[in-house]
Amino acid sequence: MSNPDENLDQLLRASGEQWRASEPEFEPFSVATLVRQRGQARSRSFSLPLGAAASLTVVLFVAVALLAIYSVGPLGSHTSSLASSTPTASLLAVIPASPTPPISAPPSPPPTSNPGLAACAAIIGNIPMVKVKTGAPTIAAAYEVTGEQLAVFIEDTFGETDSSFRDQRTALFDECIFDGDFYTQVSTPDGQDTSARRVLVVISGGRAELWRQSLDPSAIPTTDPATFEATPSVALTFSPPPSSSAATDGP
Amino acid sequence: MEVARPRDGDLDDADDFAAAVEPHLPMLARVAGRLGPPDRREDVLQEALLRAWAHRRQFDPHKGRLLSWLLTIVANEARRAWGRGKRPLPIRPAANAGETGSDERLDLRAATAKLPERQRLAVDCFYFIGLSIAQTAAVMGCSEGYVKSALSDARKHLRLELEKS
Repeated sequence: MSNPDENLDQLLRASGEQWRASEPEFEPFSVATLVRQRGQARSRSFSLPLGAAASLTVVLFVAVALLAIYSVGPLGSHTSSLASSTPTASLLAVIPASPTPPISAPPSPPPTSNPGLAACAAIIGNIPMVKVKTGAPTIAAAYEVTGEQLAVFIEDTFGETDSSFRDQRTALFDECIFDGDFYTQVSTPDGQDTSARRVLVVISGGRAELWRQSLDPSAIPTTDPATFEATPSVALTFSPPPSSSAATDGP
Repeated sequence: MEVARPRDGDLDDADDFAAAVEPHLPMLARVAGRLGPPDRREDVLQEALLRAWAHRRQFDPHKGRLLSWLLTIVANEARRAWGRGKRPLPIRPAANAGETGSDERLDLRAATAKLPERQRLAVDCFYFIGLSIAQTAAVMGCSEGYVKSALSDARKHLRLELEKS
């Protein structure tokens, strides 16, 4: 008796082959010419995405306006303060903090009272697909979040969409960020497991799943997804998978 | 005969960049064609290559292969092309939708369109574009284990959907 999963696998492979065969033939072009002609122009006039540019413009406008107010001072007290650092400090206070955490941002302290903490603490000794290399893992952040919040966090942080979270807008998930000296169970060609310093695990319906791992802790921010706001993506979101060195040229 | 190719890390010069990237163009074009909006394959690919060129110093050959890096950029550009990164990656209708002559495949296409997005992306990358598990993981920014799990979940979903129909 045939295995239904194998049958489906074969059907999918056949559909894939059919799709590839149906794709219009690719006409190779000169990448060198492309980057020389358009790449130079791009680098000269590299612009932020529209949303980011608009936000920056507003922030700059507010900053200039406030600078003018501070330098003139209140009506009647015309004391120049252009050389003072106070206005600058005040201006900094009105500029919204960047949603992207600084590279060297220390992990935020683990929350002391949130429902996600208990769920994350429960799996700290058995993080899926993760082995502890040395020491003991710590909880860098633990949150109970809705599917909507998680979807926004993932989209804005990693540039990925995941409608499975979005489709469960009000369902609750536990988001756990663990710090430690880890091996993640993804093998490289020489069979070595991959190291990680921070891992993101999502617990859904009692099932914990490794979502992301990174040697660079700042790549997985500890921002509370509930306060995470959508921002335009400016940076490339490449984060090599642990096993990317195992990449082959395709099946 | 082995053709000498520049190492992945030598991307500073336009010619070196081109020499490193061009062997991957057919695969990258397939990703752009599958994940990007219809008839915008070349646009998506070229935009992605310009981004890769602009950010070439971010590529670290010690962290991953050039192809994985490029795949990620092309997939991001395809997503951006659908609507500045906020819309899901839709399954593009197959160009030969009317030519299959197979009800089973038409059902499969309809069932695939109903998959949760991440599972659909895994199916797109692995079965349709023909990426390896590792390359699919690069595009999805996750571990190979997650890809395998997503593919397995996708097949379960598909089987249920096909049984319904």
